[in-house]
Amino acid sequence: MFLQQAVNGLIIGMGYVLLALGLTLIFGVLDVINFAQGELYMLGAYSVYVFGSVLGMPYIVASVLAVVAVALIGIVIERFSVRPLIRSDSLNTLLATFAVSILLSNTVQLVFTSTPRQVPTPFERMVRIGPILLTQQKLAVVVVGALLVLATQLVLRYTALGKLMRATAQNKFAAAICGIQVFRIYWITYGIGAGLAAAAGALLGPTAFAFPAMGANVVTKGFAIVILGGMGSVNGAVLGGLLLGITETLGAGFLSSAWKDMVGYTLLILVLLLRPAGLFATKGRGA
Amino acid sequence: MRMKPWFRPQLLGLLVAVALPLALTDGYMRNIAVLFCINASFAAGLNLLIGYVGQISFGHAAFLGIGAYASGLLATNLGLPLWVTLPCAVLIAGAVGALVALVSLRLGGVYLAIVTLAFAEIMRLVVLNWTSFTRGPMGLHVPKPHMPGDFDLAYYYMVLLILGGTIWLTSRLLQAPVGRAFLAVRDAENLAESVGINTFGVKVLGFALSTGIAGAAGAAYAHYYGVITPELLGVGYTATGLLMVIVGGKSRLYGPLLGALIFTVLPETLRMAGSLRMIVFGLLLLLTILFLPQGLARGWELLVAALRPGRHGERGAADGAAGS
Repeated sequence: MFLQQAVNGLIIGMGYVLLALGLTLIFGVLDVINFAQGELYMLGAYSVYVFGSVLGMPYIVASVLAVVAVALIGIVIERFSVRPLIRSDSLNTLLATFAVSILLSNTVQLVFTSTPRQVPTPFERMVRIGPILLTQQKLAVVVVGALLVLATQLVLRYTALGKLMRATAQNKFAAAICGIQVFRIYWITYGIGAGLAAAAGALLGPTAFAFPAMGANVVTKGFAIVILGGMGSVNGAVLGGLLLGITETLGAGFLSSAWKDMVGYTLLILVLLLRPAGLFATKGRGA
Repeated sequence: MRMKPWFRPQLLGLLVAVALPLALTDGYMRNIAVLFCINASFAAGLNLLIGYVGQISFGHAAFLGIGAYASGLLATNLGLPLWVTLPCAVLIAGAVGALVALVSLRLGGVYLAIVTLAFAEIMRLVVLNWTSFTRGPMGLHVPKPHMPGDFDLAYYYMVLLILGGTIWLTSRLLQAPVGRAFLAVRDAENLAESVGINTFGVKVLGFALSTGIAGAAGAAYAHYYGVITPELLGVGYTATGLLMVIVGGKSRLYGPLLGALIFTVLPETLRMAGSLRMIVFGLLLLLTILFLPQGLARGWELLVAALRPGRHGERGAADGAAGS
């Protein structure tokens, strides 16, 4: 029972990881708190619903298309609401992405109403691994999620693009002086962040329902994870996301499900009081 | 000489505000006038924080809600009158605000946005789930106070007093050393610290004042409508506050008033679906930040300057080009 709960937490946590990974990349490289990240996650789930249920595509094709479509939407958002403000007060990009999140969630609500939508998946059979029982879809969340985290790490560490992103994150001005086209790195990073959020939506959508407010419900948790792990830290986002997912689910099991959502926020306040640089901070990145 | 052009619109505004409800005999219109004053007080308090101290709160509705529930619970459980519960609401909301600031201001401003957001969620969940105390999703019924004469009319003058007090306090503060310290922290924090300003203390004070005002607005809201629900602490009301301040125009005393007027009257006149209305609001917020970062108040100033090319036109245009 404990193990089953922990695995359920791991699945929720993997969704948080993908969401927080995008947030922390965008914060690290652009210095932007992306309030619209939750809505990009929501759009990922709705895109799979549209491509799969409405247009009748198979789930895997629909998911890949959803990630690409949302990444493109992300690039448009970056171009028109983030880039014009990137040199001004950081408050402005925060408010601009907040405005975008209001726009996106209410546009979806206008088009699809607030009725929860079933996101289709062919992976509904149950799988038994030792004492744990879960659907194929939930297994896919863990496996594909882990692969995406690994891919992101590999891109950051070993590719030219990753090097450029890390250089921009470390020092924008020095990067620009060295000839890096910083603005190009910005939209690519935002696109990757949006794609990761959409992947979370495409993977987790079928395990629950898609509804317009689903993004607003998770974005605060994404922020909490990013702070838990240390702002801009990729490993911190991964560990923080898994930690939050598991503690939340175990907390719901042992306390009551009504207080489940409190776990993450309480953890956040505790970390800020006791270890403000983040649980897994290795080097000071400065506030 | 310099005071004069400012003095007249202020006096005119006060006269209109005092005389307005006498002209509005319709209960519905008076209702909107009361709601405007509550919204405007909330926005003016938020503007004190965003516009003058340069700090952001993404959970200001939590303090509105704390004020509303504090006043409501004191009135229902202890039977205290409004003139006792309202100041208590201010103190409680302000004290909690100071506490949140103490915790979250240890790190940069970006953290403040996230921590206030998370704090508001915690408070909303507490109010929602502690049903034995707050009655949770069923909502808390708050007694309406006895007012001399017409309830709406008397209540309007009470909330007008809160709004007037907020604006008066802000304008007085700005002329005092504390207010100058606010602006110094907003414009150049390191420099402010280097000349001996206790920047941390200044920010905590600004936060406490702003959240205390939100508490007053919340208490006024609770006793006027007679029922409050946990949704009052949600992101919705925080968004409304930010819209009023940013679209109206931050760093100006009348900016939030303009914003509150728009976002109180517009939803009443534009009777369209909630989501379509929010799309319009979201678009308005985005366009304001992109093209008129100082809000409609700044747009108004530019318009006035453009219409008076003789004396102020050139200077106004130069200001507009230099203003950011």
